[in-house]
Amino acid sequence: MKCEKCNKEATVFFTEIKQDEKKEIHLCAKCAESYQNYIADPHITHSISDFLGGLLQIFASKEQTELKETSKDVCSDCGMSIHEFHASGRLGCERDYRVFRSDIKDLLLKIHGKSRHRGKVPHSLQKWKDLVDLRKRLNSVINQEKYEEAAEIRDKIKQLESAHEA
Amino acid sequence: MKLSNLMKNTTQWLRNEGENADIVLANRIRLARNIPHFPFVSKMSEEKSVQLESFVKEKLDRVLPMDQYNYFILNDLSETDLHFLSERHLISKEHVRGEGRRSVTFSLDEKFSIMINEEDHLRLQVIFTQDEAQSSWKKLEDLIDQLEAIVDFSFDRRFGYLTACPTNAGTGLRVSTMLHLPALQMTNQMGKIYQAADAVNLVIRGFFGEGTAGMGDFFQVSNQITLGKNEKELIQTVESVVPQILKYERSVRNKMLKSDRGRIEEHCHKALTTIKEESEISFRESLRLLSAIRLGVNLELIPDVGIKKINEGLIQSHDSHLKKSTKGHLGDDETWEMIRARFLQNLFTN
Ligand SMILES: [Zn+2]
Ligand SMILES: [Zn+2]
Repeated sequence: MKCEKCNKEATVFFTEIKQDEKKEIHLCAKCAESYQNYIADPHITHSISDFLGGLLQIFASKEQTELKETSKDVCSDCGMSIHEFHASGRLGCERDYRVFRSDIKDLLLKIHGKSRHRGKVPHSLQKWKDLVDLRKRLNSVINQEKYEEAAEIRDKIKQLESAHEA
Repeated sequence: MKLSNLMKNTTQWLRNEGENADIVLANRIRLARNIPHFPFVSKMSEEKSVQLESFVKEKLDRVLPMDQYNYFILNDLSETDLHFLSERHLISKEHVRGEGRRSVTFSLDEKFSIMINEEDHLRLQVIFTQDEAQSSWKKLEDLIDQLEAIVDFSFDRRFGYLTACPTNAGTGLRVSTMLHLPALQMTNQMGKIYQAADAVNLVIRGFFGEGTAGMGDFFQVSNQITLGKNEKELIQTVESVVPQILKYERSVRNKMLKSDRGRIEEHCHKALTTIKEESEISFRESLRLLSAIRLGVNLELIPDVGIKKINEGLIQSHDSHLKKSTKGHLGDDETWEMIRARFLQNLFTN
């Protein structure tokens, strides 16, 4: 196996998973090491809270002006302000996710690379989630011009929707 | 149930003797959940924390077979007992240090543990060995489903399950594998592992000790992101990367054995001699020694010692385990380092 960067013999193997695609990466020791400076400071990658603290700092300095304008926002339930949140990295109550919605959406995007939940949902929302998933699949099969499959999915959506109203 | 009864048993999940026991200590999946209409823990009054604790406990009672569970209110426990639970990974250090009413409910085999009022209202975890991976997630999912049938959790259609720290939002799921990587550490190659892990959104931390640096050759690999993928995908990410690390650690071990057998043999045997001769051993030192012996056993350089025994030593040589074993009493001129040295000597002479 050859190193992907320099073509020498690769000794380090990793599986990278991006957009649900698995990819093997092969690197020689030297190329893998060239990142050493970046990871030399263990605080950068070891600790999630440090990681978040760092992000928040970048976040805060970048958007200082914007921050001042929105700094009036305080959660009426728990008293959390955007400044307090930026300092502590912790929210005060579930309502804060609505009060600081756009800040939090940006932050989630920075932390997770995505801001839309794809996992389990409460029982009461299972049908809603199934519909969201089906509509998403419908779009993709239509793009692929798989019309037979699209018709099947449409039927399923109709079924679910009528069951939803019942 | 008295906490001291736990002393008699090795933590179940450290009994891993399966296929990858030479490197994998254990695996853990944790879920974070919060209850609507209660502030998150950091903004919660003492009074609210008492209300929340009994509200959640009542739900747990309806779902769990309580005769197979232990229940402790942390506020009633001594400092030593709190650390004792934390050393067994039944509660977190954050839970030990927290404020307000806090409790833990854990299964008698110590595999399931539910913390109330940790950073989030609820933290449910399952610790398991390699061959229980599938069934363990299933059991944890069953438990959370049963709970969710009788209690609402804070949830947002876009952001998923809402947590006190946005780093846990979405699935609230953190999956970790605890690994013993002495060869990679010895040959200064952990840097590469950190870098590669970061590239696939995984994070590596020391398994023992406080803070970021960790201690010794024990690490845990966990998912960094909790949002944007579903639970199975997150578990799969860790599951697919761990074998690569195992392969790497084993290949370095074999290389060292081929090129430097004498030095490795000396390294491992010296640790055993140190334990037999040293009269005071610090915790940090005990991790170093146990790591070297563990490596020696796995490379078949040290005969007649079981991995289970070493894993047991890793937990029991912590401060609060030693304190509980002597009921907190130190003799004249005695130090905990002496107690630890004696404990380790006994461990390896029996
Ligand atoms: Zn290269
Ligand atoms: Zn609030």
